[in-house]
Amino acid sequence: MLEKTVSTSYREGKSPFTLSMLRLWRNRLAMAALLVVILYILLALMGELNIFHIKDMASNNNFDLRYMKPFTHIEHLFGTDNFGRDVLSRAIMGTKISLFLGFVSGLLMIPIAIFFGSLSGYYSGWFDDVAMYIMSVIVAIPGMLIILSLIQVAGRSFFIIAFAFAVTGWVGLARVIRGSFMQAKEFEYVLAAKNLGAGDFRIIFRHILPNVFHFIIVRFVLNFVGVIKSEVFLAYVGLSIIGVPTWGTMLDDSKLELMSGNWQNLIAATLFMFLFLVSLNIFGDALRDSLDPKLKNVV
Amino acid sequence: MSNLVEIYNLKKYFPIKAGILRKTVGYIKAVDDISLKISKGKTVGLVGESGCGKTTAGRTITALYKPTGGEMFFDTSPEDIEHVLNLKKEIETLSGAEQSEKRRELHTLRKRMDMYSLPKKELNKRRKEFQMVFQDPYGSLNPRIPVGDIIGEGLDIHHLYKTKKERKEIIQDLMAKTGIDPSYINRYSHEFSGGQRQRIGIARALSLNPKLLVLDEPVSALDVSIQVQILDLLEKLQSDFDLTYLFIAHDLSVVEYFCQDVAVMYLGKIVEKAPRDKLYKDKLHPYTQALISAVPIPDPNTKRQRIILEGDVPSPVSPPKGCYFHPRCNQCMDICKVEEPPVFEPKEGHSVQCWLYKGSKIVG
Repeated sequence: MLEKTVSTSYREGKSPFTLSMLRLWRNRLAMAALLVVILYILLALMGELNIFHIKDMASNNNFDLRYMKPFTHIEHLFGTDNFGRDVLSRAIMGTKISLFLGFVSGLLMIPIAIFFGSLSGYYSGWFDDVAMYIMSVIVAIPGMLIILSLIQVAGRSFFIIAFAFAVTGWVGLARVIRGSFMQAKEFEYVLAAKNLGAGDFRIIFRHILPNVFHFIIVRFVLNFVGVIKSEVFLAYVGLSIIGVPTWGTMLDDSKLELMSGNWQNLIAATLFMFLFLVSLNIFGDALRDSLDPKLKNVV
Repeated sequence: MSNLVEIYNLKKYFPIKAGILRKTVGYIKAVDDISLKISKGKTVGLVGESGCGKTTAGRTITALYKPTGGEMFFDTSPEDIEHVLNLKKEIETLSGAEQSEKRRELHTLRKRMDMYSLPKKELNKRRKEFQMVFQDPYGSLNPRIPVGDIIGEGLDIHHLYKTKKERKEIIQDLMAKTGIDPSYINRYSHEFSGGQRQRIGIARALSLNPKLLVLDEPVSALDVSIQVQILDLLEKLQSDFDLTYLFIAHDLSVVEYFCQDVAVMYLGKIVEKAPRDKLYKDKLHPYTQALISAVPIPDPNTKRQRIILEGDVPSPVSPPKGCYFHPRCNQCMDICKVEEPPVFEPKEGHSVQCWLYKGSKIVG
């Protein structure tokens, strides 16, 4: 009297992740946003590879062509700044820094968050107490203060700034991971794995972590938004990376130039930032929706 | 017939923590001093209301929870068990240096035989022998892993195959035996129905060739037609794989259909224990009487006396004094309110924890 399963030609299963990606693929707005993000990445790559002399134009001074107004010359679309450097090229070079800063700080942040979040959620006990204490201390100090003091102490290099963002950013993610682990360790499939004789390592990395990974992906994407905004703030108080054009330093420059009626830097940096942040936010939200296991039946 | 599992005085208390210092202010006595013997090849049913500790008992028996107290002997010879129990009794009568020496001896013995005292590594190795089928077919399968890998997980952990091909063969064989199309090996759990998922859960439990299977309400989440299919499957597998079942359920008609021995639980204690036919014919404990009188009879003309239980199960945090059942009992006597009854055995093989049978043989 066995239940007969209907045999169809379709045998390969679709994993929940594949289904999420399919759902994301069908979301046109999200795909448009992703396209914009990809364009930014390509732009940054072009800048780095010095295609169309972008890198040269961003850094070579040309005092004959200072303060060109935007949208007046086709070869300098966003005009030139006080050293006669092409503003569009500088904005493109700034894209590279912003992307890289978000990427590196995300990569630094995620392992720390996974380590503390998973262990304190899974084992609770004294490790949880210690980890929660550390997290509470970091949360209690305003994030910008930590970043500023780290930069003051260790210098204004690219990796120090990325590290500073990671140090302040991991706590939120670690808390989310901790909460999900506390919940997940009582799930029946985790108990079943335990019952089969699985060790803690196997349970954490094979059974629980893949089921909370969507938090990590979404956090990674939205981390870019926070990092870019913070970088602008840092530049505005004069503590951003030295020697390379970033969106923050461009805005910082423009605060003096605005008084003399030059708005090239302002318009270029804001426009680049605006489009990027909006696209990233739309994409991040759509990604969160599509990866959310609670919405898995909405196809 | 020898016993596969013998459990003595199993206790599982969950501490309640409160305040900033997380001081323990009390205990939830989910399982409070139960003893149970399961003979080889038999099916023992564990019944009771929701919240009486059935699931906790099942999970403690499979060592998923660390018990607060008690011993479990799994597939141990009766002589060894007797040796340990006698030693334990002996310790209480001794004192001083002699006692501590005996304590050490008991400790080493328990480390070898008592499942709850085994070192973690040793225990994980022995977990092969007792497996569990879970209640919720939707929550018991990891959604991110294909079912083939879910079933084969135990094989991976215990290295029970030599080649990838052999692994796949074992898995597909298990799938066929439990009634899932073996070609679905790469599908994910969300692509299966509740009944099929429960079959996958059973296949996973069987992958390690266990001797004991703890079935934690395996059919309560399924609809009636599927329930019968799963029960039939379990019955077939029992003879094919030579299995012993501990069947946890709240559905008394399912238990009557499926189990040879029945233990009735109330508030963390086993109040009555007997072979099925004896229990259903001759229910001794007032709680069992009330439970069985609530089972619907598929005949509209039968008149029957229902015993209505009033009130709820008391909180296991502060159980009532005396017999735990006395506030709801319709045959409550004075002694019930004061003193907890011992386990009486009014009839051979039929034990009950109730003062109504005072004067019969006391067994525990």
